[in-house]
Amino acid sequence: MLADNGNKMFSIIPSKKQSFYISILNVLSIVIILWLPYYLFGDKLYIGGDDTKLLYSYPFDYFRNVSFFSWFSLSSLPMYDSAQFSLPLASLLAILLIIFKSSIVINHLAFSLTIIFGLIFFQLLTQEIIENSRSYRIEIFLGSLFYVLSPILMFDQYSNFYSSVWLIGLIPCVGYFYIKFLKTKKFKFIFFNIIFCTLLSLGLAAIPWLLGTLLSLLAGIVFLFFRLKNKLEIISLSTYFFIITLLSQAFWFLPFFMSYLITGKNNAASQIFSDNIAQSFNGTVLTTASGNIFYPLLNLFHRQIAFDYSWPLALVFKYFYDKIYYLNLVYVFILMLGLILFKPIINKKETNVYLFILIFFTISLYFFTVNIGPLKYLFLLLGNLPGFVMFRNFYDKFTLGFCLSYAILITFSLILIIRKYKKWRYFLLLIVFILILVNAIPIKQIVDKPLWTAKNTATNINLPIEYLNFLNSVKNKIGTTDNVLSLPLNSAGYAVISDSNSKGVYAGTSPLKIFTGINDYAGDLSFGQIYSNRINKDLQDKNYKDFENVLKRLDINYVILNKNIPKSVKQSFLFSGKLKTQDENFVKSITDKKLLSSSHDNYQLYSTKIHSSIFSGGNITFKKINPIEYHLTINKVNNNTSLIFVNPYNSGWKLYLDKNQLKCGLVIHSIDSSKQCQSQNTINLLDDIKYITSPSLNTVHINYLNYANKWKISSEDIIKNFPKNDYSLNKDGTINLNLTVYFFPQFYFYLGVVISGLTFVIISLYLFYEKIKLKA
Amino acid sequence: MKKLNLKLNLLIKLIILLFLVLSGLSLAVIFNSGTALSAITVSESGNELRFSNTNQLYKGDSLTGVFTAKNNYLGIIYLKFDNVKNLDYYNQSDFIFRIKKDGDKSWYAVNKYKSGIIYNNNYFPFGFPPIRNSQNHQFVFQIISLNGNKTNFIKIDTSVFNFAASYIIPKSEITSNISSLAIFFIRKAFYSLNNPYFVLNSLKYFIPALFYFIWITLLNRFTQIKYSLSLISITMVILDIVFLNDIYSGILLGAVGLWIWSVVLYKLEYSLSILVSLLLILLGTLTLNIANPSMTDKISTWGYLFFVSGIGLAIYQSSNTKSNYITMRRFLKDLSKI
Repeated sequence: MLADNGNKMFSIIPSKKQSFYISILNVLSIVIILWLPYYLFGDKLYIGGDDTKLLYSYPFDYFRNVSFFSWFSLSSLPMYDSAQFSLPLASLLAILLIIFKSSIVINHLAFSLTIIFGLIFFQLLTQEIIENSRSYRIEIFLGSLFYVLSPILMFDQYSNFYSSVWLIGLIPCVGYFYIKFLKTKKFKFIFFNIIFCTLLSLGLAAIPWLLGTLLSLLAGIVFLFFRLKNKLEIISLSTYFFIITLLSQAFWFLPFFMSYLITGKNNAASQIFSDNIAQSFNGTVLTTASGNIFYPLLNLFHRQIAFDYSWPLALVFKYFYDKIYYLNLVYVFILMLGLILFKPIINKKETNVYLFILIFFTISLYFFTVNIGPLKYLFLLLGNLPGFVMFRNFYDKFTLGFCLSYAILITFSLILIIRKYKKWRYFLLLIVFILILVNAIPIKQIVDKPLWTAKNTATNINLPIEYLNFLNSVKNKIGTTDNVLSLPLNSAGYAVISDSNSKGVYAGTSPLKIFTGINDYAGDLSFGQIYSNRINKDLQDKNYKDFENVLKRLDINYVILNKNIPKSVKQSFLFSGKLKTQDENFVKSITDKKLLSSSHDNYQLYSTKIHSSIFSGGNITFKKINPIEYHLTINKVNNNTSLIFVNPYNSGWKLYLDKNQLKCGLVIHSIDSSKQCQSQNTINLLDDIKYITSPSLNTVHINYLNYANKWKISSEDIIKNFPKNDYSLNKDGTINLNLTVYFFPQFYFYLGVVISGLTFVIISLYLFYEKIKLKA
Repeated sequence: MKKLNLKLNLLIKLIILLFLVLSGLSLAVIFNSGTALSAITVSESGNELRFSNTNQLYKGDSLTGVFTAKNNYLGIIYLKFDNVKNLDYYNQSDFIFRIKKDGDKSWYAVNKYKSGIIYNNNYFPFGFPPIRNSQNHQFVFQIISLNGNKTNFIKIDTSVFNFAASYIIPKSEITSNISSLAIFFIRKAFYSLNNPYFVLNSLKYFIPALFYFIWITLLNRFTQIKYSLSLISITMVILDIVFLNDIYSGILLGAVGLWIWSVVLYKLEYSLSILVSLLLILLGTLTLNIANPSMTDKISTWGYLFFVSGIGLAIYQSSNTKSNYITMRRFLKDLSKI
């Protein structure tokens, strides 16, 4: 009832004036957010961690060596995993790099953009779901600040900066365009939606975070569905919206999805759904579910887990939040008062939306906390659902849903309270504004955190010229088919690069692949479980002979020795356990000649004592065209020839007979009977189409020694099934073949690009047609 | 009169049926409570435990327990720990468990463990070869940390019933004749019912009976005495928070069930549930640094459950606008009159 008259009764400042003030506030906020990374990281790059974040500083390198191909091994996390979701953002950042000519500027801009998107789209979304929102622009603006400056997001998203950070803006963005489309039925909102989704597809690919939010929304959606009158219309409009959005994302989603369908030991699905991960669900949940609902309700991260695991956040609690947390009870009062007051204040339509958000909030609070009496065991039971193991780090995966629902709820509750007690409006808003700012004070300590337990080691760094030059020399010295062992090994697949001019270190997934295209084995995680156990045992037993056998089996021909790791990092968990036993004797035992040394001798390249080749099994000459295509000539193939390809096994690798003779050029290696020609590093789409359309060689393809690919080739079969000009016959009855080894799933990327492109073209044409029709 | 007899007859049958079902369930719990069928577990008082320092055991710290065996064949000592951190094998601390008859010079059994063994296994069983003639003898056991530090220390729960002794009776002895079998089962049932953890964990099986009992006997009185059911529920919550360390689903289900029943019975508005939730959250937040962690967890759980029940009622009551619900204000006013 009251809401119907809301515009007259409750607006204190006229809507137009409010809009003007809010525009100014938004511009001011954006300027401050753009300045924020300079305050946090100064003139250093914000890089490191599992995602490396190098995409935001070196987009060209990332584009070239990671984004384009469906097969990549980043620091030897060997899997068939598409990374094409990073293509649009890498392209955009590459353009920005050309304009600004500074890696630091685009690195910092990327950081700011995640927050700016969140700020803007949160306001747009809440304006759509709250009736008469023009009168409450200040409340909505405060709600957006509450959202993007949430200490929970600061810790969980900004300080890790995984690709999920883009969802902070993307989830409200999709929500906004969806509601706009439902209200207006105008396709232009789908069009805008697919533009943003494509641009930020990197965020959409953060599937566990996205699903975590959707899971929290599920019960609310069911509730809303039963309350809605025009169910059929909603279903059909929603189908349009989401199917078109999905089709527009086919360029990354199709190869990504296929990587889960294609069976193989080394695809993404097998890694995520592996027994190890599944078995760790209960243990991880039981040890980390130590929080309670109080801290999330105070808009703070779970304190207990920060102390249990000695995260740097514990110090922020100790010196700051522990002293002010009770002030945040204001949020709890706002939430509860809004809930107590809502019934007589809002109309039926708004009630449905409000209850929907309440359900969303209640469920996300549970998922974010888990440790709620017997409900903890319910969560453990859910762990039996296929794929639910992805939520074992619940305090991370459900963060976005919780923060978004809480921010919308606080905004809604503020409006409800102000509708009831309008004279308290500015006092209440001021209190909330101050509280949000006070809670954001330790943002530098939270985001620009030291490296784990190494309190004086910063994580923002400009990669030293010495290191970059060294990598350049490595790139020129060795072929991209050779693998490298980075020493000292650590418990992750990390590289530790320290900046001599500052206290900063890069500690993250090894950037060697991104900068050079050469794959390295940097730690336990690089080797996979079987080989990881074996090398750890070898290190413990000082069985370096066996260690060398492992190197040979994995085609590791070079060793990069990093002599510049700070002591504080060496003492961290990264180099704990058996990894401590890597001494000089170990290095000497597995290395041969020193091939390169960096300008200050901090980085050295050695060859290994035993050499191996990526292809073996006969008289072979081969050339790498790009990471998914190899051309080779194999001579004297008899009835029982085996071709071994030392790249993680996947059924997607196919063999094709090639009529053209291999043009080798410079031979850079000659190991046993296998010759390696200089790599080409080109993409020829016509070649790709040829492989996709022609049948592959029908031979037995097996997983060799739990790691590599092995094909059995029979000269008899080839002579029987192929025309004579496809091979050359030798006098002794053997044959010579020209072959191509091609990673077939790359096809799904090309197919996806066609589908996405067509979707954009069709929607654009439809919008154009609508516009012309309207003019006529 | 005939009608009344029929009702009474039905009632008695129902009660007998319920009793049988509950007895069956309780027996199932007694004989399936994580220990061997032939084991009798006796709860002992934590007051008998002595720490050399605190209940967090660092290098050299120890815990000594003394108790008198209630039976022969003493074979397991259960000790309740607080959860340890999930550390890799090399970073875990070592500790030893040893046991002997009081007065003996040498230890009967000495075993070394890694702290990680307690991880997710809080009520940890320390086993040793059963001691045949243990009954009525006094035993001393010790836990000594060999190298515990700030990260990998072990911590003993200090609640009253934090340890138990288990007696592994040989099957041949149990089944030697019918009377010894009967005695074994009676003793097992007796000690199980004397074990507070067992009783509290079994409460959930009694909830249907409790609700049924209230329905057939006390409902009229509860209806007459305004809000009595609500007050009982809240009293249960307070007692649970104050006196019990662990969370028992039986108590949670019972109190929340009673609350929801009272809301339906007295037509209370959803806001009352929200108010209770708010009060619990306030209490929990303000005592965050004072209350022990288990109490905080408990308040958090109750706060959430009342919040959820409030939301559920809000959804129901928002679509059922015809009923006149008793508002929070009226409830408090009525309560002040009582």
